[in-house]
Amino acid sequence: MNLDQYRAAFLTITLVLALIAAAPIMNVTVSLPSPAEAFSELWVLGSNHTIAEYPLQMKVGSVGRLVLGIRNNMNYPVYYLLKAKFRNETQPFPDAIKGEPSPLPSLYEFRFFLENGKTWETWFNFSIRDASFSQESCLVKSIVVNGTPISMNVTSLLSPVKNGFYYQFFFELWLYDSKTQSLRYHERFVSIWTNIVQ
Amino acid sequence: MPPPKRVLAVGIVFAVIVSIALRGALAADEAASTLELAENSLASSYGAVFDAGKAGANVTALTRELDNAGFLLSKAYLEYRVGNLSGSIYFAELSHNVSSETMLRAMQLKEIAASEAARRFWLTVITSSASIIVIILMSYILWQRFRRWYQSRSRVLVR
Repeated sequence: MNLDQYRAAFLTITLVLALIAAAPIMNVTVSLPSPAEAFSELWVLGSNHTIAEYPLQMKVGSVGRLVLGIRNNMNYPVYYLLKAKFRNETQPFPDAIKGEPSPLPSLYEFRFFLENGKTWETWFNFSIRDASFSQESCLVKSIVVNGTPISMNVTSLLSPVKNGFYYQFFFELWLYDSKTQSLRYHERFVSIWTNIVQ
Repeated sequence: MPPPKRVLAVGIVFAVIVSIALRGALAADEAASTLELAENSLASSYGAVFDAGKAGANVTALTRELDNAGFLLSKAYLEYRVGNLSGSIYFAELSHNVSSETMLRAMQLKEIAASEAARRFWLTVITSSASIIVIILMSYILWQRFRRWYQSRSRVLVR
């Protein structure tokens, strides 16, 4: 090796060492975009954390138990609002194509804050407190959700195909949008149907 | 001429009904405005915690406090929905208080985190820059010595 080749080797080693020494500066000055796709997971399960325990048939007065869960993968801490709603087969459902929530009022709401990568779960205990039945219809007048009685008047007609009075609990996920400074529908919902019997 | 007793009684009953209705309407207005206040307070508090987290503060404890405030606000909405206005006002005020305290703590934490981040940034810049200068100097000195040694060795070999 001649002197020029040694000079080149010295320069290369110096440059590499200088780059290694400069790495912490780059770390604090250059911010890379978040690599992960931003989304939220939402689930509803039966009391044993399985779908086998779904309360698909409810007697008036009996208690149904559901587990509601959310996992934040939005890459930032999120302010979530989970709206529990109740409807019969003809009342409006969230529009999955337009991404719009159901216009029905909430039965119950959960507000909570979740850091990125964290999971939140809660119980949703409900029972039909008061309902009247005729041969062709069922009128639910009151539901108890997590110990709070809520009055309503929701009628379901007898379903000739399924032979029962079917109602649906559905849970819409909303989140706080810092840009608009308001809660907006996150275009996610889960639901279960339950047949109410005397 | 004094009014007949019947007219007076009807007047009193009417006044009582109007005052009860008025009180109910005022309570509903108060509950709605307290809910709005609590809602805004919670959103502002979330913004402050979010900013503190971005500044590098550990916001786990604050997130738990926000959770409490959110739970209380949900409870306030539920009480409002079932017609318990005093209960709704009570929970909304509690939520507002928790949110306000959390916001203050988040702002303090953000300031601490920001000054800590600035200190860390300058420390990093200074130590890295110093390291680069030392590496370049050491490399130059080593190169000079090596070159002298190489040239002297070449002269010996030529002789």
